[in-house]
Amino acid sequence: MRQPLYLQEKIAIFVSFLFALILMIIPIPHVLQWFWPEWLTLFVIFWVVRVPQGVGITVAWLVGLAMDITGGGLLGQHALSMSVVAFLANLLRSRIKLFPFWQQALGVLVIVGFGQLILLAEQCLLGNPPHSLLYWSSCLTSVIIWPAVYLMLNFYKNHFVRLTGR
Amino acid sequence: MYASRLIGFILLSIALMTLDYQTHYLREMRSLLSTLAYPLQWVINAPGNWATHVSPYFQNKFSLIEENKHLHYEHFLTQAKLQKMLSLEHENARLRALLQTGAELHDAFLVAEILQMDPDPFVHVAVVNKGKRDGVFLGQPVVDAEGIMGKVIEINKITSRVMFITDTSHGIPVENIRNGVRAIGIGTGNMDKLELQHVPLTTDIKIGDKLVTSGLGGGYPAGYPVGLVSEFVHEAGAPFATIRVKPIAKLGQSRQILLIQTEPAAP
Repeated sequence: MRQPLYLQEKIAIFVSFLFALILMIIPIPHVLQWFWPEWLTLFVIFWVVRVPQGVGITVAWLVGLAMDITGGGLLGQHALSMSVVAFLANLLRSRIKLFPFWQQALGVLVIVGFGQLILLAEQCLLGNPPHSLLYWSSCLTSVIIWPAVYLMLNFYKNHFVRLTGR
Repeated sequence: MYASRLIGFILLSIALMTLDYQTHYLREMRSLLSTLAYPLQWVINAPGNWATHVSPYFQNKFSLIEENKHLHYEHFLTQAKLQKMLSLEHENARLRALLQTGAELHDAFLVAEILQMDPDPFVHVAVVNKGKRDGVFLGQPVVDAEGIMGKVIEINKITSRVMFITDTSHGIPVENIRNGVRAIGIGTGNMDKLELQHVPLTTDIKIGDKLVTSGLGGGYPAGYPVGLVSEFVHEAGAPFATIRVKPIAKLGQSRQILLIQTEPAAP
């Protein structure tokens, strides 16, 4: 189980992160933006839980940095929150892996909430804190969409990242 | 071991953020990396672009005829208005000559397209598809067909970032077109609201008044429409009135934007 990844598996994971990045920055109506799930966080959680030898804090940090570059925030903003997300996901890994969806959701809520909390703290330090509690609504939508993300990424993983088949 | 790595990355992120916020060292690198992100933005916009190119072929003839008719009509109307404008422009130039104050009347425009909005709903910053190589400069004012949208805050090689006037960290000097009363419109983080700050209660501003850029401060050229006063709240005991303004530019809808090419004269 704990062998290093093949190149094609790394590429498959990279492509999935690219997809999540596109989902994050895709132009959507402004009203919907409040409720847009934190795709990148969910993807990071999934890969940390399912392929811990491939995706850890380092990869999560780099993914966050990519988000900062494409999203246009301060460099390091998302990188910081993503590395914490990866750390927490690693802590809760066995719990998330074994539990049914509704119990997974609780762990995911905590992790996504932590990630958002860090982003919020950074924005407050920068002096432009969000003016509405709607800020937290993306956590809820992220949890709601989690089972779908999990199932789809699981399908994707089983097709492209055959870790168990060696 | 895992926790120490986390702490390392946290410190690294904080160092990076501080460096990015306090200094300019990362700007060049950032602009280079943003160029790398361009393919991603292009991919995202490809379906929309494709649709605008292809959709005319699938429209039925009657709707096209209808649209054509409508456009002709609109063109006719704008032409008529332009005639009036022309004579006004001459008159204005003559009067200005009499007053011996020179002023730019014509601005050149560069058309650009919005590629991406900032994923954070509180940050009203858009990425547009024109950059340094197209002659975009820092602080360049941006308008749409109706009014002021914002200004350029970051330029990369082929893209740049435009901050909208409704961003919370943005302020724009405005004046009331009816009587010349000046104020500063601060963004609220809500796409259809600006707030005028520190306006005394006795100021002559009414609901429905049109505000235009005053050109003070040198950031924006004078005379572009900014918004209409939508709310005037006088809270008992408050030293200033709360005045809300609805931007005229279609901030949440326009895909096409215009960059004003002439650099504003220093005040």
